[in-house]
Amino acid sequence: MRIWLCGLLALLLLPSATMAAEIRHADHIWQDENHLLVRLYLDMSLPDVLVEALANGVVVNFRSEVRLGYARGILGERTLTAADKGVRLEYYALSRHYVVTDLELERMDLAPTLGDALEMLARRLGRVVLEMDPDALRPGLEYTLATRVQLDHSALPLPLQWDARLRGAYGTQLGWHRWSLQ
Amino acid sequence: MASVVFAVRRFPWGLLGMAALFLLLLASLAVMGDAAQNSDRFEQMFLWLLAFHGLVLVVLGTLIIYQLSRLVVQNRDGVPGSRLTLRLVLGFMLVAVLPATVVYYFSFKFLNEGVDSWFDVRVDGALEDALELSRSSLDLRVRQLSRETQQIMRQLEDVSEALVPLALNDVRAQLDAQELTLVGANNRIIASSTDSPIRRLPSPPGADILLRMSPGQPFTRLEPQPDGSLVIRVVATGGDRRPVADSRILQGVYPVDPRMSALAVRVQDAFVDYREFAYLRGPIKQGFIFTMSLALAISLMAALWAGLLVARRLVRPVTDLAEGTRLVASGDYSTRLAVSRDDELGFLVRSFNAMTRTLSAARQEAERSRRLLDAERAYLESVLQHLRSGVLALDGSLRLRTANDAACQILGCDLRAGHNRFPSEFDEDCPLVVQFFDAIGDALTQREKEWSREVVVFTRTGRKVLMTRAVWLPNPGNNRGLHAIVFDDMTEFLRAQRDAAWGEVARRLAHEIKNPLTPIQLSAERLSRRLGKTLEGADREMLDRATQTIVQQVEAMKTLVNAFRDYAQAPRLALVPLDLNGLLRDVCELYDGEGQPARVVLDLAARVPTIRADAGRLRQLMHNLIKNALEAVQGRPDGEVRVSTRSLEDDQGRRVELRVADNGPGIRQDFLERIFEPYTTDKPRGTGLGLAVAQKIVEEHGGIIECHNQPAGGAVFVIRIPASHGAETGVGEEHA
Repeated sequence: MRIWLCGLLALLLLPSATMAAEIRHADHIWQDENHLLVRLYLDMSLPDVLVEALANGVVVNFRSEVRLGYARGILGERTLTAADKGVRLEYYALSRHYVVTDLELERMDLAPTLGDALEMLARRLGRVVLEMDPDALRPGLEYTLATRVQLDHSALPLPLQWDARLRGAYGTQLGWHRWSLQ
Repeated sequence: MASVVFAVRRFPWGLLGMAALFLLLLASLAVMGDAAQNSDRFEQMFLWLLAFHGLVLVVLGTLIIYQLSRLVVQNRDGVPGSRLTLRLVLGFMLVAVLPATVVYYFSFKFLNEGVDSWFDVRVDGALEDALELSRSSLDLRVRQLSRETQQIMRQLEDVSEALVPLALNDVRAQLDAQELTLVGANNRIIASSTDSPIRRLPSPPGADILLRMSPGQPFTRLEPQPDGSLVIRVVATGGDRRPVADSRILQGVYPVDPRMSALAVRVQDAFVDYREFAYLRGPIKQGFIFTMSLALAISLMAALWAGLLVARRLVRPVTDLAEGTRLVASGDYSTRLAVSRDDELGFLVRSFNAMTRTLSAARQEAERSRRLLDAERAYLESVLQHLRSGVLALDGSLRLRTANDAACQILGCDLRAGHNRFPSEFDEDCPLVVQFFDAIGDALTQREKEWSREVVVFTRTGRKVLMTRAVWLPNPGNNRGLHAIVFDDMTEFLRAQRDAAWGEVARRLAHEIKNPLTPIQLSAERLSRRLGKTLEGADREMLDRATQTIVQQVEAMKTLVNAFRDYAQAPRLALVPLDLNGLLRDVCELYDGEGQPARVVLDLAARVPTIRADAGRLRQLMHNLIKNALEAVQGRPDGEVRVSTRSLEDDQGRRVELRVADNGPGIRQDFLERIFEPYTTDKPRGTGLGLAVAQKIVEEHGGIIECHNQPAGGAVFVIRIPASHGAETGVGEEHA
């Protein structure tokens, strides 16, 4: 029992493993008048605990978010429009492949290695289409695009959510990457 | 209405609030447990519930620490009830902690072992085997399709691009493929055939596939589909060894038999679920233990807090009773405790209040009786103290119980200091008391019921006659009995009686004897004148001698009568402020010269207070005393009369003391007792009135005169006269 208690204490006290994901670069292009394609160039890697979880059948979901807004001084930022994209990563034991599924398009890609899977994951997460009304943009006002990538906690199995919630494990909150809408 | 208000006030709102808090905590724990099993609720509520429980823990912990520290401080300071409260709280803690710890221990153990028991190595191995079996089955199909696809590709190598679509359709139908696509150089689709052209668009192999392909080696992959089915993708090149990018490539997508696919997917799902479950075993345990520990901590703290409240509530009446008892012990019988309960403690409080009421009433009654007794005693003491008669009370064992001021004054002893002493315990400091009890001891010992007798005691200045009456009270309120003795100093009264008698005698003598003396003297003188002329010789001589004798004796009788007159009829005093030292110098100067039988020495104090006195009477006093003293030392070559003064201040006020001492033979003791009585003299030619007159003069001036013999020999007369209010006078000197 003491071992368990010590383990529990250690879990609470030890620093959490973090998801190493960096938005190396981000840009945007207008697809048409109403759609803005935001492209994220990500360098992704997973902490050992998630790699182990994946290997043991745990399904991991990631979500990339994009917000378009403008600053209002002390009132903070007002979001004009936002979009997100979910991508699932899992290990398919039958074929010994990693499966990357675009949850919107329901498109599945298979990768023989985790590195390939992460590259696919980065590509899927790095394409977010923001739907907006250009007339809503007021001339002279500086608009900011903000994006971030995070692990979807609610998709984790409940026991792992304990770690995620109590200790902030798996680096679930990456900072916002911002740039101006030209 | 009042009963409703009372009921509302007595309602245990604290306990109700505590119960509500417990219910709330139980509910929140239940919700938290439910949320831990449900992902959506976990997402929505878990952190809030965790924060709520953490806050509750902090608040309860703070309250408990505050209450416990307060309790410890009160216990250290000895506050009534704190020790009992602490013991109760420790008892509650023990009662709460022990079962909870036991339950927690076994729950913990059961949880660990129970969760571990869910997993079995054999099941794990069986699932792995089943998965491997599925893989093997599918691999057979994959290899078969790989070979067939390669054969077709070889067949299509020589078919022109125009005929390829027809050939593909035939082959696809033959192989029951979902899709067959022939790709040329640069991944250009040459032809494609699908089982559902509407649903599926032809697509070339992905770049990742082409990168992994090597010339002559087909690429195969088992692919899950969004609908849960499985397909086998085979990408084959031709038989030549050209680079893949430059060769024709045939991509075939083959469905797996639905039954086999379903079985394989189920095996895979079971395997994955089991692995995932096994992998999550640790976090599951941690989650359960965390929830259980949280519930335990909250339960224990709530139990401890409840124990504190209940202990204080239980102990409060006991504390009030202890405080009330302390107040009663310190004499405060007005203490009343609030009755707030209907149980045995309430009964105890009511009994305490009844007891204090009874005690208070009894105390008031006792106080009233004591005041009455004190008043009676004060009254009796006042009466006793103002009595001129001495009053003594002795108990049955002859122990002195009471003596009034007059008794102390008459017997010349502070009898109050000898309270509870036996008569035999009085020593030489109280000689009159010793004499007094010697004289009445037999009557006291015999416990005569009522008796009276005249008791004579002797002081340095003479004797005292005490008229004594006594009563024996066998049972005056105690078992020892009581002798009540009342006595009066009759000395002055008897002396006054005697003086009055002598005064009457003197007045009668003066009146009856002095009147015939003058005719006798005149008749004798006439006889001498008439017969003297007729007689001659011896007859004449005899006549002259006889008449002279008559005249002389008449003169002597006149002198005696005058002395009696002076004693009986004192002249009116002319009191004026007088310097006694000056008067003494004047008087003594008359005795300073040749022919005096002894010398008179003046030993005057430097300063003595002025007295109010009649100078003539004081001169008469001094002449009497000095003559008396000179007669006492007559014939002694060293005879000396010493006149001295000094100032006195004692409980009788400020006085001047005058002493006339001689170094003569002294005065006989039997004569000393009566020396101031009239007609008492040891001189053959004395009238016996000199010292009686001297005493009378002193008493006329409010003073006293004493006479006693000196240890070194000789007698001394001591006169003490009150000083008047004024400055001291006189300058001391020694005059011979």
